[in-house]
Amino acid sequence: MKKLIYSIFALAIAVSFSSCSDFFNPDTSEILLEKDYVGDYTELYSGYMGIASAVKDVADQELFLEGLRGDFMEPTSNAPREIWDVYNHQDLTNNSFASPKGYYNVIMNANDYLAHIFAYHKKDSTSISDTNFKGMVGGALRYKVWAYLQLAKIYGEAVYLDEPVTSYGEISKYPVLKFDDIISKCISLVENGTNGVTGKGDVDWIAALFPGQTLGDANWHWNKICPRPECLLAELYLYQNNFQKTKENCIAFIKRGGEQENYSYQINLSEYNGEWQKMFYLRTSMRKENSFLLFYDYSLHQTNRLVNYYSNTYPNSYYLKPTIVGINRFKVQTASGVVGDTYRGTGVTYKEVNGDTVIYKFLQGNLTADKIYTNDASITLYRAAEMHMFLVEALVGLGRFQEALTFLNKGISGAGIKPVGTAFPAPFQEYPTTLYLATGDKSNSGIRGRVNLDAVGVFALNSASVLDTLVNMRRLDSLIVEEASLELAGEGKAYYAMNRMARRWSSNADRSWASHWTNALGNSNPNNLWGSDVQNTWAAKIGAKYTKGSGITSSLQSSLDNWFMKYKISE
Amino acid sequence: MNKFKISALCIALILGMVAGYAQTTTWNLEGTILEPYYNNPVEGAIVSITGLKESVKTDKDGKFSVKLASSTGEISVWFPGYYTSKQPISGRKTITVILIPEEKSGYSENMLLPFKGSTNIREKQTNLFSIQKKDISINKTDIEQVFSKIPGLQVIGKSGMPGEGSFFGIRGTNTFTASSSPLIVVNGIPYMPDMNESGIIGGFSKSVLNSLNPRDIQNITVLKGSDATLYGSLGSNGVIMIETDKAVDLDTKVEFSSQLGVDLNQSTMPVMGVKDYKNYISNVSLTKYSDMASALASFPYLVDDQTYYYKYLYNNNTNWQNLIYTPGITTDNVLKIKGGDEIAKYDISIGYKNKGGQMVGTNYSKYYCRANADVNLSRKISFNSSIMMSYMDYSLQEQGILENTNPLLAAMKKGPIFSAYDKDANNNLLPSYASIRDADGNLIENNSVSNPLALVNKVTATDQDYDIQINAGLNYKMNDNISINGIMGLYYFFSRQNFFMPGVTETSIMPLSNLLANNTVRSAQGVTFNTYFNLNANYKKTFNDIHLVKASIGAQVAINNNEYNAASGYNTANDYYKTLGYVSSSSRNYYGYLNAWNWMNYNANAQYIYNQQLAFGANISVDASSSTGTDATLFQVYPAVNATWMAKNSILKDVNTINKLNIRAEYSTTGNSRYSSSLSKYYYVSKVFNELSGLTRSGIPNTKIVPEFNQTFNLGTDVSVLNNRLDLTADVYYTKNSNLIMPVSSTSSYGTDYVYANAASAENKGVELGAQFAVIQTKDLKWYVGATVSSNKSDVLSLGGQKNMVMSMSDGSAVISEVGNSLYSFYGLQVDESNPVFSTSDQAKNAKLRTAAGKYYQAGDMHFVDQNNDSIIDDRDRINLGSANPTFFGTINTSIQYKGFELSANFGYSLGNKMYNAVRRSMESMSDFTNQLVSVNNRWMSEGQVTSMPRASYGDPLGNSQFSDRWIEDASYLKLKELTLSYNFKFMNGTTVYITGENLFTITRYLGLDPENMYSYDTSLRGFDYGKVALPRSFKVGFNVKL
Repeated sequence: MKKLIYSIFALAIAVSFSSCSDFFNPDTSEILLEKDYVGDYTELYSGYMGIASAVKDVADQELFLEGLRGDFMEPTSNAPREIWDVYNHQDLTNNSFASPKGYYNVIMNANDYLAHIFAYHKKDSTSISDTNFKGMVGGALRYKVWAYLQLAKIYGEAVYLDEPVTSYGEISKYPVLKFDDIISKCISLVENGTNGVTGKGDVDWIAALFPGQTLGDANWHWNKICPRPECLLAELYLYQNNFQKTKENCIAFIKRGGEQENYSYQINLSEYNGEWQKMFYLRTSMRKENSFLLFYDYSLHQTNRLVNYYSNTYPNSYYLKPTIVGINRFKVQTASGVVGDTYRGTGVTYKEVNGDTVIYKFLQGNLTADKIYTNDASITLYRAAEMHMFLVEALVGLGRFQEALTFLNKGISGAGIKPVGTAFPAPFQEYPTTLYLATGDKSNSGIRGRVNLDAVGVFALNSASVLDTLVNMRRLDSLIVEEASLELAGEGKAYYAMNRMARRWSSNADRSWASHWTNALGNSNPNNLWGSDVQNTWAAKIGAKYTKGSGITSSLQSSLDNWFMKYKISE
Repeated sequence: MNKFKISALCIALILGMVAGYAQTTTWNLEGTILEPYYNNPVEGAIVSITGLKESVKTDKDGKFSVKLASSTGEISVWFPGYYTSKQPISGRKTITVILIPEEKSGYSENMLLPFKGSTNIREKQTNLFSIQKKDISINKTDIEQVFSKIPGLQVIGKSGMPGEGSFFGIRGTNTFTASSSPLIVVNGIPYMPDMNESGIIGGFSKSVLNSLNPRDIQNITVLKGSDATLYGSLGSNGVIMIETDKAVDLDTKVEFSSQLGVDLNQSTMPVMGVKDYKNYISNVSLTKYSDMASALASFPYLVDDQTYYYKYLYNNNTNWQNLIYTPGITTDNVLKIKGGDEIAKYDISIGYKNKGGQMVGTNYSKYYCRANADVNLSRKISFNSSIMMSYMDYSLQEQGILENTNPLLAAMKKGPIFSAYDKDANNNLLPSYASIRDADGNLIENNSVSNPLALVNKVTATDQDYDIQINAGLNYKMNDNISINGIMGLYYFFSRQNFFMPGVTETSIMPLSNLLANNTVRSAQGVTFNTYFNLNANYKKTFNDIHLVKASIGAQVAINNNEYNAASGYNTANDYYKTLGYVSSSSRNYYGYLNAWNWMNYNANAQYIYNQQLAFGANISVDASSSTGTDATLFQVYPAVNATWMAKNSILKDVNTINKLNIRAEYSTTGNSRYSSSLSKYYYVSKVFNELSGLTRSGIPNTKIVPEFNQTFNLGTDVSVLNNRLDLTADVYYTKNSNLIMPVSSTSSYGTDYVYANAASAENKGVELGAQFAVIQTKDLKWYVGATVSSNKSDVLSLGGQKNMVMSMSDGSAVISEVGNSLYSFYGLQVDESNPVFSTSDQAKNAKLRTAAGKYYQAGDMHFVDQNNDSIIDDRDRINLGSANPTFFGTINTSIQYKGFELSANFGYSLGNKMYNAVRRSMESMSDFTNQLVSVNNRWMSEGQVTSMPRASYGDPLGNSQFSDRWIEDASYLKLKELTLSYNFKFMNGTTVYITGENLFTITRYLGLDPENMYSYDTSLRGFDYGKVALPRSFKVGFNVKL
C-alpha cells in the first residue's frame, strides 16, 4: 500500500523534474534569453542593430541638453519642470530629462555585444567573414566610445564599464573616471581596440543588406549608422590638444569621403548657400554632408522628440525655443557688408511661426499637415562641416593660420587657389587637388563661403611675432566657437566647443602643445594668455540668456566643474 | 500506520489529556433535544452514539435515555429540517442539544478545503468562511455580489458597463508588482485568467467570473489562514474556493430560473444650462482672444441677435446626459437538470443571460452550458468531471478620461445650445446626427465635442469571448482511511475585440490621435491556455473515538500561457470600411504580450483533533515557479501551524447559554509568485532599427528575484449564543509582507531607471467581524439580521532604502507609497484651506508664488501650498493626500420571512475611503469652451471675490486644475444594494417568485457619479474615478420553478 503511494509520487516527481530547467524558463518566443544568444550568426547582425537603436533613443536628448546649457535654447512656458531645472542648473535628482541612462544603455549593449561576438567567433570563426567580424567589433567599440565621449562632455565623469554587467548591485565595483581619463580610454578603444581587434573596422552594410546593389541615394545612409573612427578620433584628440592627430584624422576623413563615398565631405558647391538648409530635411541630398546619421520612420514607430518639442503647431508641445542671444548671433553676420546670415539665419535655423520663434532647422521636413506630428526628423551627429571645424581648430593649434582661415572662410576654391601641376601650392600641397577641385560643384567653398558670408579672422594672417601668433590662436579659437554656434546651432555641439576652449586656455591647462612658441618667448604664460579669461567670456555669453541675478555666469566662471551637469551616477 | 497512532498518542500524553479517559463499563446518558426558539422539545429526533448499535428517538418531551459502554463517544442528533448536531459526550450524564434549522440564514456548515474536499464547521480550525447555495439569493446574476457577504472580502462594483462585474480583494494590498487578486479555485482547479483591461476599448475591464452563474454554485469558501499555505506562492492574497453544483440525490430534478428586469441610469452630474454656459464661454474666450470682436467671430451665439441667419444652430436646450441613457432590458435564464443512479450522477445547466446596459448601445449576453458528472467506477474508484462552456458577447462604449469617445464625458461637455440632430434653417430636425464640421469639412471651433448621441449609436466596440473549462478527477479510496485523488484541468479562453469609431462619412464625432484620425479601427485578440495537474493522498482516522488524525500530501503543477495581440489604425476611405486592412499604412500600430508562467508545488498537511476540544494543524508547501530568478533558490518553503480550542466541548460543555465558543490561533506563510516570468531573467528583446531587426538588452537582470513572502498571525473566534441564534465570527490579523518586489530606483549607470528587486516590505493588519442574528425564528415568522465589518490598514515598512515610490499617471495624477503610510496613497498639491483662491491681486502678489516656467499666480488663481518654500509651485510641493482604502467596509443584511413571503434587504457600506474625482476635474477645469459643472458659476470673476473656485482661463496656464486635493474627495457611502420581496410556494417544491430592486439609494457626500467604482482589477488604480458608467438602478421580476 505504502509502496503504491510512494511509487505514484516518485512518478509525479520524476515527470515534473525531467525537464526542470525548461519548465522554469518557459519560452515565450517574445524574449531571447541570454543563454540562447547568440544562437545563429544572424543574431550578431541583429545585436549590432540593437546598439544602433539604443543610440537612436538618446540622440534627441543629446541636442536638448547641449542647447539648454549652451546659449542657443531656452524652455517655453509649456515646458515641464524637469526641462526648466536643466536650464536653470537646478537639482537634477531623478530628472529623467537629464538622466544619462540612455548613454549607459548604449554602453551596456555594446559591452554585451562585444562579449557575445568574441565568444561566438571563438567557437565558430567561419560563419562571418573576417572583415565583417572586425567591422562589427569596431562598430560596437565606436558606439561605446561615442557614448563615453558624450558622457564626458555632458557630465564630466562616467562609470567605466569594460565588461557586461550581468546583475544588479555590481556597478559599485567599476571605477568612476573623470573627463581626461575618459578621453584617454576612448582614444585607446578606437586605436587599440580590445582582444586584438581595433575600433576602426567597419561593415559595408549596403553590401551586406542589399547585395548586388550599388551605392545610391536609396541606401547610402546605411553605411552612416555608426560614427567613423576618424570623426571620433579627431574630436577626442582635440580634447588632448593633439592637433597633429586631429588634423590627420580630419584629412583622412575628407579623403575617404572624396575617394570612396562619391565626392562627399568637401564642403563644396553642391550645398552652396541656399542649398544649405536642405541638409536637415532632404535625406537624399545629405550624402555629401552627413557622416553619422540617425534616421527615423514614424510608420515603423521610430520617432524622436525634435518636432514635438520645437514645433508650436498642433499637436506638438513646443517646449523649446531659440534664445535672443542665439538669434542675434546670426543677425550680426555680414555678407558683402550686408547684415544677416541669409542662408542659415531666419527662416532656416529659426523662424517666426504662429507668433512665436521656433527652432526651425529640423522642422522643415515635417511641416505639412500630414507630417507635422510624425516626429521622425533625422538627427545628424557628425557631418562634414564639423569635421572641417575640427580641422580648422587643429590647424590653428598648429599655427597654420592660412590653411585654417581658408577652410573656415572661402575655401580653397573660393580663395582662388589653383593647382599648379598636380598639386595645390604651399601651404596647401597636402590637400589633393582631386578633392578640392578649383572649379565645378565639387570645388571647396569653405564653411562661411558656402553660405556667402564675409571672411572672419583675417587679422591672424598678419601675426607679426611669436606672441602675436599665440594671442591670435586664442582669438581664432573664439571665432571657431562662434562659427560652430552658427553652423551647428541646435546640433548639440557649440557648448562643448566653448567648454573645450575654456579648458584649453585655463590657468592649469597642459600647455605642452604650445611649447614651440612659449619656449621661443621664454615665458610659459605670456600676457597671462592662460587664465580665466576664456572661461569668463563664454560664461558671460551663456549667462546672457538668463535673467539678471541668476548666478549662472558666476557659477560657470568660478569652476570648470560647473560646466558639467551634476547627476548622481554611483550607488 | 502505527506511526500515526504513536504520534497521536504522544500528543495526547503531552497535553495531559489522558485523564479524560473514562473507565466505567456502563454509563447512563440522558438528553434533551430542543429547537432554538422558545426551547420547544423536538420529538422523534434520531440520536446516534458511538458504540451504540441502534439509534434512539426522542420522546414528545424531546428526551432520550441510553446506557453506554463508555463516556468517551460522540453523540449525533438528526431531525428532518435541521443540521446534524454532533458533540463529544466527554463524561457528561445529561446533555442538552439545540438543533440548528437548515433554513437558518447566513449559516453554512460545509467548508471547502484544498484537495481534501470539504470540512464540517465542527472540525473547522482555521480562518474559513463559506456561503452555501441556500444563502445565494435567486435574483443574483453576478457571482461577485455573493462574495460581499464574506467578512474581509471587499467587493467594489467596477461600473455600470454591462459585463464588467466587480473588483474583489482580501485584506488590502500587499504587493507592488505581483498579482493582488485572490486565487480563485473552481472545482479544485486554480483559475488564472488574464485580468488586464482591454488594450483597445477604453476603460473596459470585464469580469473574469462571467463564465460562472450564481445559480450553479454549491459553495463558496474563502481561505485566509493556514489553509492558503497549501497553495504556496499562489496563496498570499487569500483563496476563494468555488464549487459548482453536483447531483446528490438519485431522483431526477429539473429547475428553471428566469428573471426579467430593467437597468436604469441612476446618476448624472449637474452641468450648466444655456445661460450659464454662454456666460462661461464669453468669460473664457476673453482669456484666449485679445478682444471681444475675435471672440464673437468664433462664438456668434454670444450675441443676442434674432436676425442672425445661423441662429437655428444655437437655439437649442439639449439635455445631453438624458439622451445617452435608456432603460436596459436584462434577463437571466437557467435550466438545470440533475439526477442519476447509484453509479453515475449528473448535473447539467444551460443558460442564457442578457444584460442591456443603461447606456445606449451597450449590451452583454452570454450563452452557456455546464455539465457535471460523478461516476462510481467501482466501490473504490470514482471519477468526476465537469465541463463549462460559454460564449459571451459584449457591445460596449469607451470609458475613462477619453473626452472624445467616452459618451458620458461628451454628454457633460457638449454645450446645451447645440442640437443632437442636424437642422435646416427653418429649425426642422433632420435625421442625421448634428455635425461638428463646417461645409469645408473643418472642425467648428465652438463645437469641438463629439456628439454624444452619435457616439452611443455609431461607435462600435465589441468583444466576443469563448470560455471553456474542463476538469476531470479520479478518486481511489484505498480503504476507509486513505484515499488518493488525481485531478487535471484545462482552461481555454479566446477573446476577440473590435472597435470602430466613424468620422469620415459620419461628421459628428471628434477625430482621435491628435485630430489626425477621422475614423479609427482597433482590433485585438487574446488567448489564455492553462493546464493544471494535482495528485493528492489523504488520510483520516479516529483513534479510540477521541483522537482524530487527518493528513494529506500532494503535488500540483500549473502551466499558464497567455497571449494578447492588438492593432490599431485610422483613416479608412470612408466609414463603411471598418477593418484594419483599409487603414492608412502610416497609422498602423501594434501592441501585444506573450506570457508563459509555470508553477509546481508539493504540499503536506497534518491535523490532530482531540475529542473535539483541541485541534492542532500544520501545513507545509514547497513551491517553485518560473518567475523565480535563475540564480535564486528555486524551491521556497512555506510552513503554517494552527491551534484551536473548542471551549464548548470542554470547560463550557455544561454551560447552556453558550452554544459554541472556538478560539483559533494561526501562523501561516504564503508567497506570491504571480508576476511575470521575464522579470527575473537576463534577456534580450527585439528592437527594430528602421526595417531591420535589432536586439537589445532588457535592462539589468535581477536573476536573484524570489517570490514575495507573507507571514500572517491570525487570532479568531467563532461564537454561538442564544440557542444558536446569534453567530459571531471575529478575526484579528497581522501580516508582514516581505521580499516585496518593487522597481528600485537605480543609478542611471545601469542604463535604466530602475531594477526590480525584492526590496520592500509592508504590513497589513485588520479586523474582520461577521455576525448573524436570528431575531425571530418561528415556524411562520423569521427575522434575520446580519452584518460584516472589516477593516484593513496597510503600511509600507521599507522600500529598499528609498523613502517613497511614486507612480505617475498620464493626466498628472500620482500615487505614492511611502514608508509609514498606506500603499498607493494619492500624491499631489495641497490647496491652502484658509484661502483656496487668491481673492485680490495684493494677496497674490504677496504670496510671490510662481510656476516652474516662471509665471506668477494672480488674483483668481488657486493658492497651492508651497511645501518646500522655494516660491515655485511644482511637483516638489506634492504631499500625501490620503488613500482609497476604507477605514471600515462591509455589508448589513436583513430578511423577514412570514410563511412563504420574504422581504430582504442588503446594504453595502464603505467609510473613510478617498477618491480622485477625475471627472469633476475635467468638468471644472474651465480651460476650454466645453460645458462645465454648475459649480463653476462660483468661479472667481472680480477683484476681491472670495470663493474656492478659481478663474476661468483658456489652457489653464497656471495649472489651477492640476492634480491636487481639490479633486480628492471622501467617498464614504451607504448603499441599499438590494431589496427583494419573494414568495415561496412550498407546495410546489419550493418554487419561488420575486421582485427585486438594486442600488435603490446611496447616501454619500461624493460629488461624482457613483462612489462605488473601480477602473480595473489593478489595485494601484483603486479610487481613480476615471469616468466609468455608474452602477445601474435595477428592477427585476423572476421566478424559480422546481419540478
